[in-house]
Formats: sequence, C-alpha cells, structure tokens
Amino acid sequence: MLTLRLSEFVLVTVLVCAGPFVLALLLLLVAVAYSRAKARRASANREKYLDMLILASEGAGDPAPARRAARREVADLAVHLLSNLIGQEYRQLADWLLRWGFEGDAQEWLGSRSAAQRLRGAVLLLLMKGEAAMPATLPLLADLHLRVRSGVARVLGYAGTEVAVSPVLRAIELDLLAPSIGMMSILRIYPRDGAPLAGGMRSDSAPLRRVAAASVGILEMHSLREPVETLLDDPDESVRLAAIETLDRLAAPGSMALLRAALQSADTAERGAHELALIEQALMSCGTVPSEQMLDFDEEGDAL
Amino acid sequence: MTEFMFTLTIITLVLAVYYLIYHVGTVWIVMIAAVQIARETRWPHKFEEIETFSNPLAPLVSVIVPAHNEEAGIAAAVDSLRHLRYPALEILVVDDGSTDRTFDVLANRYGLRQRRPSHPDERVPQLGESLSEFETADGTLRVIQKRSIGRRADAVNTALRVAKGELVCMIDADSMLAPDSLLRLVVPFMDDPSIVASGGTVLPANGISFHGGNPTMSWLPKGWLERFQLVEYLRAFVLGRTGWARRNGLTIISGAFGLYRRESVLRVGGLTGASLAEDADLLLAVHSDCVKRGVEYRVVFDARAICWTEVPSELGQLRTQRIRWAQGLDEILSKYRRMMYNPRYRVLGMLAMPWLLAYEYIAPFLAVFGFLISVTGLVTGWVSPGAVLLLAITGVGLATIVGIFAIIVQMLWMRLYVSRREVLMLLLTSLLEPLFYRPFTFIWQIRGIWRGRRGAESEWGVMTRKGALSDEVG
Repeated sequence: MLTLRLSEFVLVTVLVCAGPFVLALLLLLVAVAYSRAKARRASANREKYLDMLILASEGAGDPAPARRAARREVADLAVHLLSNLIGQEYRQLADWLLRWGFEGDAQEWLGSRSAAQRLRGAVLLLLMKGEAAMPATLPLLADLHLRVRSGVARVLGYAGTEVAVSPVLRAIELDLLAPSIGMMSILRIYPRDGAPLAGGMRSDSAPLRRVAAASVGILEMHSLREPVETLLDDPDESVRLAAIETLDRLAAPGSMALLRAALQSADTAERGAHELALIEQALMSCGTVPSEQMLDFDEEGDAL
Repeated sequence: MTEFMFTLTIITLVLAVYYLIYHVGTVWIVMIAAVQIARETRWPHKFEEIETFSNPLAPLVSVIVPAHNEEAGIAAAVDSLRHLRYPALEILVVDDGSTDRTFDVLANRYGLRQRRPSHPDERVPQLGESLSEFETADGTLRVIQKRSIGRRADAVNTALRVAKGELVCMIDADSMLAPDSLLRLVVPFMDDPSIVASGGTVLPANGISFHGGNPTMSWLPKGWLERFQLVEYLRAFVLGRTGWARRNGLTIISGAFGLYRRESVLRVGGLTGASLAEDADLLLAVHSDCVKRGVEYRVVFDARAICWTEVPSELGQLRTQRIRWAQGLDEILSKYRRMMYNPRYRVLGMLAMPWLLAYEYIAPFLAVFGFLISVTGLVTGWVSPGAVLLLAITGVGLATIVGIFAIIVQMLWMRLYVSRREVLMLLLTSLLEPLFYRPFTFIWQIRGIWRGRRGAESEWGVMTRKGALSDEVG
C-alpha cells in the first residue's frame, strides 16, 4: 500500500505550496486595504488639487504641496488642464507652476532613469515654458525610449515653435521617430519657413521625403511647389504618391505639364493604377484634362 | 519496492515535475504581467491620448463587426462604436446571411442607403458572395450583406477586402468597447511602426447594464457559470496575455477585440476560412510572415483596453464553445508545428508554443489521468485517502493562487472589481472554479482534441444572444 512514501511526498508538496497560498491570501487582504485607501486618497487629492489648479488658472491659488508624490500628482493634473486651456488662463496656470518651483521638478525628472518620468518632465516643461524649454527638451528626441521620443514630438507639436521643425525632421531621418508622429508634430507647429521642409525633400531618407512632401501640401506652401515636382519621379512609390497628392492640394496650373508628362511617360507602366488615378485627379485640380488623355481602367484596376 | 509501486512512484514524480514547471512558469508570467501593468500606469497617458484624439492625421481605423442573427445586440454594439473616443473611424458591419432582423435594426436605426459595391482587395479570399452594400449619410457606417457559408472568418474577410483603414479592428457583434479602449490600442501603433498587432482584455458583459460603453450597475455577472468564466478571463487576459506579450510571445489575440495593421493581415490573405481558431490562426500567420521576411516586429497587449462581451450562460453553449476552441487548438498546433522549438521565433517558438502544447493541449489529459489514478489508488488501497485529499488540496490551492494574483493585479492597477463584496465573490469563485468548473472544461477539451485528431467536421453551434449589452445604450 502506497501510503507512507506518497503521503510524505504529498505532505512536503503541500507544506511547500501552503506557504505561497497563505501568502497570496495575505497579499490579497493587504491589496484590498491598500487599494481602497489609495483610491480614497487619490479621489480626495484629485478634488483638492484640481480646485487649487483651477484657482491658479484664474489668477489666485494656494501654495503647491511640498511632498514629492503630491507634486507629481499636481503636475499630471496640471498637464491635463493646460492641454485644455488657452489664453490668459493657460498663462496664469503656467506662471503659478513656475512660481511654485515646478520647473525644478521638471528639470529633475528630465534626468530621471525612469523613461516615464523623463517624458513627464518634458511635457510639463514645454507646456509651462514653450519655446524657452526647447533647448532642454529637444535632446529627448534622441532618447533611448521610443515612447519618450514620440511623446516629446507630440508635445512639441502642441507647445513648440518653428525651432523644433528641423530637429523633428532629423529624428525622422535617423529613424528615431515614426514618420506619422513627426508629421503630426510639424503640422501642429504650422511652420511658415519652408527651408527645413525643402531640405527634407532632398534627404536620402524616403520616409522623410514623404513627410516633407505631404506636409507641404497640407500646409499649402505654394513656394515649395518646385521641390515637390522633382519628387514625381522619385524611386520610392510612397514619396511619389505624397508628391502627387500635394500637387493636387496646391492645384497650381504650373504643375500640369509635369503631371501630364508623368502620366504619359514610358514609366507609366511601372506606376500602379492607384498612382495613375491620383495623377489624373491632380491634373483635374490643376486645370482640365482632355477626355482623350484620360486613362481607362479594367476591372482589376489596371490601366488599359 | 515492487515493479508496480516503482511505476506508480515514477508517474507521480513525472506529474509532480510537470506541475512544478507549470506553477513556476505561471509565477514567472504573473510577475512579468504585474510589473508590465504597474509600469504602464506610471506613464503620463493623458497628453498622448488627448493629442491623438484631437489630431486630424490619426490613422483611420476600420472596425469590422461580423454579424449573424445578432438582432438582440447589434444596435448596442454599433452604438458603442459610434461613441468611441477616436477621431477617424470606419465601421464595417457584415450581415452574414442573417435570417432575423439584424439588417432591419441597422437600416431603421441609422437610415442606411444603398451604395455602389466597393472595389475589393483580391489578396483576401471570399467564399460567400456579397449581395449589396449600404452606408449612412456620413459614410462612417457601412453594412455589407453577404451569403453565409457558416464561417465567421469569411464574414471578416469580406470586410477586410474593402476596409480603407490603415488599422483594422476586429470585434464580435455581441461586444462593446470601453470608450477609450481603441485609443489606447492605437497610440502604440502610431509610435512604433514595428507593431503589427495588438489586443485588449475581454470580460464577460452578462447581466451588466452599460451607458456609453461603461458598466453602470453591478460589475460582476450574476450567474456562477459567467463568474467562473470571468475568473478564467481575468487570469488569461490580465496575467497570461500581458506576460507573454511583454516577451513578444503572444499566440492569440481574441477575435472579440483585436487591432492589426491592415497590410499585415492582407499579406497573409486574411483569416483562414476553415479554421475553428481563426483568431489564433491569424496571429500565428502574421508572426510567421514577419519572421520569414526577417523584419523586426512586435505584437503587444494592453490589459487596460477593455472589451465587454456576452459569454455563454448555459452549459450546453459553453460546452460547444470549448469543444470548438480545443479543436481549433489542435488545428493550429498541427498547422504551425514548425514554429515549435524553432529559435527563429525566439520566445514564441521556444517558450510560448511549447507552453501551449504542454499546458493547454496535454494538460486536460494529464488532469483526467491523475484523477483516475487517484480514484483507482483510493479504491484499491494503493493510496491512502489522506494522500489523495492532500493532493487535491494542493492542486486547488495552487490554481487558486494564480486566480488571487489576477484579482490583486486588476484591483491595484486596473480597478475593475474593487468593492469588498466583489473581491470576496471573486475569491470564492477562484476557490470553487477548480472544483466545479475546470473538470468540465478539461472533459470538453479532450472531446475537442479528439474530434480534431479524428478530423471531424468542425461545429460552430448556435449561441442564443440575450442582448446583455442592450440595456441603457442608445
């Protein structure tokens, strides 16, 4: 009868496992207590700090708390609030934060080992100080953590100025930033100087050429039409498509000749149906297309 | 020691080692998941979400909703999608040969009008012919009526062929997304072009009232069967998937809520029509495609992106579902066996797939085998009642520990079920689940795997929807 050996074995197993089980139960009890206390505290703090920040945005406001954890909570709430405010209220809240030493906190967080903390610092600093914070925050476009780089690009789009356009384009070129994030940032900045974008269109990086060409169209920078036209024969299809869409947006009659040449050139066979359709669309925006020059497409979408 | 006793001891030791590895591995996954979720909460999310939400260049997301006889819940599901906090959305409902009022409900509610059929992408096959296409005046909702071939995959493929979004989100018609869940999943896609797929947590919606995608009344399902499934889902999604995703070893993204780059889905030809585990099949196909092409890629998971879905509330429905899942597991393990122990697939090939084999596929057989050995030993007197009892307590205890960890993680960092009553009820459910729920699932799994081995015709079965999501929506 297998009683002793198996029982012993099972007993040892149970003793080994009973510890973790009891520990897990204790952990659950602690977690319940901790979670409830934390939720109560967080809710009370949120209410208190939000009142304080709203008063600050109206020009009044109590002193900021001194505790580090509390200051972090205030900073997060302030970022939320700042991204919803404009004008005088925004300025007054930013001034209040500067007055109560949040610039020091943000600077300290920028140097933190925690990526989340670095981003927190960059966001707060840029929202408080705008262009003046860019020397301290632009290096974070090359941060080791992708999420920090993207987060900084986002906030640069919101609070940055034209100074940020070249570093953002550079980050796209070096593959440090997703092109779509960089482009959003640039469009939000709404630059008036086209030089950085013109430079981007000459880059060896196809994603950068694409972003630069597409941005020119959305920003309607008519002065950059010619550099865009040179991209109609770019080896990268996505760049060509961006260039065509931009010329469509700019709708300049001066582009018609080049667009028509692209439609009728020997390379036409290599251009996909979608590209050819876009060229036609752009031609229509720039002027009119004689019907005999319009391409027909078969059911598969191939040009006939 | 007799030969018989020696054999019995060896079997016991093998089982002990097997379960030891299981529990050590589970603790490892739990730890990774807890650290990942805790780290995630430290990020200042608000700004990136606000920026993405307000940005006109946010990528278009095509949300695909296959619907077959879903009149009870379709309006609530589509309403919840239209209330999602996301700026660029295209909702594609595929009415897959419904014989109830699914289409009428949609047509009346949204004033659909017929439109010209879209030009399909032929890389994705479609077996059931499309009949007609409708859309709302603003074009944000499209409804495609098609002939059903009895496969959800074919309905999803129909929509994939005409989806315009850079990202495609696949959900079930009985699912409801929390308002910020899609935004949470999209942000990482924008930051990191190497991300090809992402999943969120799926939780039972049965018996819960909703308003705008958020539960408004009791959060816990009322029935025990649904509660058992809740504990199971919490364990699988909050801990299991978060942990595996951290190591890029996710083997499945639930068909109830998954987001993919459209191109990565089109490259593999969409969903496999004949598969019973088409969601796992799709993800493994995407993994395989990326590895073959030698591109750096990531499959991620955000436990805090929540989708509520109606789970089976009757034993018969649950049985059919679990048999189907097990048969699907058999299919994919067989289809993707070349990934197993293949270092090219890194964690996926060396750990996740073997884990799936050992602790999803083989586990039910060993559990039943262990049970039979214990009962036989007890009856014949080979093993003392005390030993069997202790063994049972150990098994139940260890399984409960994992459940307790899931409760702790969700309570601390996700704050889903936090009241004293809810936590106590979840704890009780975790204790009862290994006794009253898991044995059934093991038997159904064995049945499903057996069917798979025999090459039996796969069954989808019919789940009668109770419209759990419809209460306060709209």
